[in-house]
Amino acid sequence: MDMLNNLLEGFRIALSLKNIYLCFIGCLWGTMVGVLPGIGPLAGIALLIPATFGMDATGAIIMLSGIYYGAMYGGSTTSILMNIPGESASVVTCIDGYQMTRKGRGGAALFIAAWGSWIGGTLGIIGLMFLAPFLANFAVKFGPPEMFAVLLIAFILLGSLGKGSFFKTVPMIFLGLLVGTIGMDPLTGAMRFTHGIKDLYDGIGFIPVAMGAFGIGEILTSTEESLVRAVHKVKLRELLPSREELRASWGPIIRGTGIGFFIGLLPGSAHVLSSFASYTVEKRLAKRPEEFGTGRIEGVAGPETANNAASQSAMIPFLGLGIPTGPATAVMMIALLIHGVRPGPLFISEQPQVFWSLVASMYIGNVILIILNLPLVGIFINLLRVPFRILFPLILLICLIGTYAVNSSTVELVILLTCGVMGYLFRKLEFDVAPFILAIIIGPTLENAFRWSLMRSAGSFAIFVHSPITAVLITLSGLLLIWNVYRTLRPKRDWERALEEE
Amino acid sequence: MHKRIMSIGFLIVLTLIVTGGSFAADYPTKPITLINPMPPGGALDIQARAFASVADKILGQPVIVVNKAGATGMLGGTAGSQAAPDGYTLTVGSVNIPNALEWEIVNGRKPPFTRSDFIPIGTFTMSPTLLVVPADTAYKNLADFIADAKARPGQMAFSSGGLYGMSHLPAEIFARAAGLKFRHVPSGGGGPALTAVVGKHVDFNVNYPANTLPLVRGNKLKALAVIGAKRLKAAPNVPTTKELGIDAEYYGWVGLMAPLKTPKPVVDKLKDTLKKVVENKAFIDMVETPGDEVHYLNGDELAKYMEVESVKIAKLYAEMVKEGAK
Amino acid sequence: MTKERGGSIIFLAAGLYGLVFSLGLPMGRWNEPGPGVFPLAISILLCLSGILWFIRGGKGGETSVIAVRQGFLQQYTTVIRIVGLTALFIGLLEPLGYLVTSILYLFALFFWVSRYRVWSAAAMAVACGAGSWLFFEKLLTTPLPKGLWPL
Repeated sequence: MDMLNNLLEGFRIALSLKNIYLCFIGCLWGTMVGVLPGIGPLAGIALLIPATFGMDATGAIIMLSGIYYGAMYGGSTTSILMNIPGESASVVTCIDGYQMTRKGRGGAALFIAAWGSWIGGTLGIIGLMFLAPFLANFAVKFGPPEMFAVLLIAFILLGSLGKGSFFKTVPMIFLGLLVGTIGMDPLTGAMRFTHGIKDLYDGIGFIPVAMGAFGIGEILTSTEESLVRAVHKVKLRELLPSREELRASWGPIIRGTGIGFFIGLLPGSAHVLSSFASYTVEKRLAKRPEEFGTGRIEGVAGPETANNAASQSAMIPFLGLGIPTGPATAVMMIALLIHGVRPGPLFISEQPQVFWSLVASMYIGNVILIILNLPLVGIFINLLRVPFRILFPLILLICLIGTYAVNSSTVELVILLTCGVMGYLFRKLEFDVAPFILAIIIGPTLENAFRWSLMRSAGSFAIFVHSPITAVLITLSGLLLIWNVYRTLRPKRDWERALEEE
Repeated sequence: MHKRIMSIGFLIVLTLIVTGGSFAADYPTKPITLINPMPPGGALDIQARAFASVADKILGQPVIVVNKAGATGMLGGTAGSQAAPDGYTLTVGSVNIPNALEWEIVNGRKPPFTRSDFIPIGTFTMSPTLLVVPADTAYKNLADFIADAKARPGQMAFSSGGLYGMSHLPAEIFARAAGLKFRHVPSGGGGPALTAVVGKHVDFNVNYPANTLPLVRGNKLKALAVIGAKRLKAAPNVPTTKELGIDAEYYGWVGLMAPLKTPKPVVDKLKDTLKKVVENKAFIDMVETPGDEVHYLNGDELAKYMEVESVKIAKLYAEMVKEGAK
Repeated sequence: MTKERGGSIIFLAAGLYGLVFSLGLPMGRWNEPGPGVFPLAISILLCLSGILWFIRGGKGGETSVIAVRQGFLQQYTTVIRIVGLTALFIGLLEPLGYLVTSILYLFALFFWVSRYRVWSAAAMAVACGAGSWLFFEKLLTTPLPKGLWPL
């Protein structure tokens, strides 16, 4: 009951007019930042930190968290409507989300995405409230060997992400892994594949690749068909999901919350992992998995929920230990520190008012965001009614400027264009691009986990089966691999053959 | 004739003084960017942002910290050395910069920039590191720890935030001073290095007080020693290595650097600002409450300090490379 | 050339590139894997995948749409134009500055690809280019190249 009192106290603080206003500004700024491709939540938060110097700690944290969540919500908007992932967690949303837009169901997709995000976020916060201390201890048990095992499973799952067969997707994953090694090796400082180009020292960023392969690739493919697209008159009914769509979304949303919450605890790129883990689970569970990739609502509901739940649980190790687990929590920590709040194991007990008002503001933020986003759905859909012939040059320009804005680098623009051409090529060759991009994002983590583990064990591979967690996970990954290979090689079932003949 | 030359000369000098002075008086007229070569959230970042939040009131223009992390400071250092020398893009200098440079040189590579590409403005903090172990280990003090390490040489491991970074070198210095052998397992940053020791994936870690003390207080870690000569104000119960008879000390300084050709009036103004920040109570609180130590060295002292340290570090690196640390 | 073969060539090419350059990197030892290990392993896997798919793509694979035949240029003219104009944009961005380059780029796209009339294309280009410049430069203070003009 003590917790309930604290929570109520937190709400009392968070519901002050000033704090609601700050939360709103944060969410608004975050949504804008998320919608605009290129400028991600980190940049948005970092830009506003100096502006928070004059505020009290609670208000500042509330505003900055608002930006963070807002960006998450906003990122899905461009993914669904324009096939441009706003940030790494939205890559998976593009796959089915954009196809839904092409079928005229874009509004429904946006709605379900917002709805699922809200549920995932809210349930995630509840989980955070009750389980934070316990889970923080659990999270530290995941050291690099455990992470390697988890990522191994993730990569095998990634193989079944695409429309093509496992064996067709696997080389794309390899390609992504190779591209991911470009840049400076964090462990030794050696330069890999950079050929002296300064802009490559830090590796190839996610933004030029994703915007290029998805956004520009899509534009190039579309212009091939025809520049005159039928302008679809949008009725209100189409903005809202149909009954079957709503019904179909419940399962993915519940599962997505669980998956996302669990994976978010793990250090590293949790959002990305959670979104595609949810996608592959939904695909497996669906009655007609071959339809994934053509615009199934489950492919949007699950991942969007999962990545919001993951953002909540990603805060747990941070709040429980005071150690930032990724760039996002790092920036939050800075914000807290500037205002004299030191997150750590004693944070909750020493500064209850900041913690609980933060929790309360997370709820409020989620509510504000869903209120903000639903009407925005209508506005965005109307934007799409602009004729494609006018729209696509603007989208190209935004991609270019968005990429340039990150690092002021022309080299990255070249990467953008190259990935655009590659995305176009791969689409025509019918190879899946999403696994390629996802492999670029999490490949380096896999490699580092592997090398760290071997360095720790002085070369012994036993470290990978040493703890119960790793042993279980490695066995699971082995089983998954065998299962995938078997499924691809076995004689086709009737419906699969019928599909191929279409 | 003489008089004419003299008066013209006098006029020229006067103009220079006035414009030079007004140059400084005009600076800064727009926001200043502070490049932090380390990732966000680390001890350096906190100190840099503390500096920024006080400096911007003194300078009258916003001071914005921008993270350009990568390669234990090399990326940010390169960006900083190549920035326009107009005083609007400064670099958070730290011990990582000369360390990075010497590492490249010892390994036979040409570093992308050198110390002489910068004008050191001064330091604002200089802190030793703490040696921490997981909280539930049996060691009661450093002596127990050393005994265990001697009993199994080469088997105990420590995590660090990156090769030759602030969490690596003090550990090496300590190990050599105490005659011990450890495995070094670098992670990508201070955060993962700390999680590794909290989660008992490694045996110990060496890190800034600001990063470790909260975990010590929260009973996740135990601090066995300060690798330095003086006890920390924030942790008066932790003995120093010098006290315990081990000749190991290492300090991480954090300060400000400007690109080489920055005009003198701007540099002077920055030096002045730095001095004011270091004496500012709010700044001192922000740094010392988490446990780090404020320490002021002016530009020339810093330059000399870096000289001396580089020689020591180069020697250490040479030994490390010989032993195959790579 | 079938689609699978087309893909396999890309994999093979990437694999060979990776092979060549990762062999130059230190491999380290088992207890200290160097930066070359992972890229080398991946490159080998890529080469293998490339070869395997090349073989498999030979028999009964789907016929490709990327056939280099007559009419190639006509079929892909739009795509080539867009890619070419974007490349020009990238090249001219820093010398000419954002405002000018974006207006020229948009104009070229509106006129040459979307086939609007000269004046409509020009008007839209100026409006959108200047609008975007105002939005990004002034509102979001994104650092954009200034080029020759102090804009």
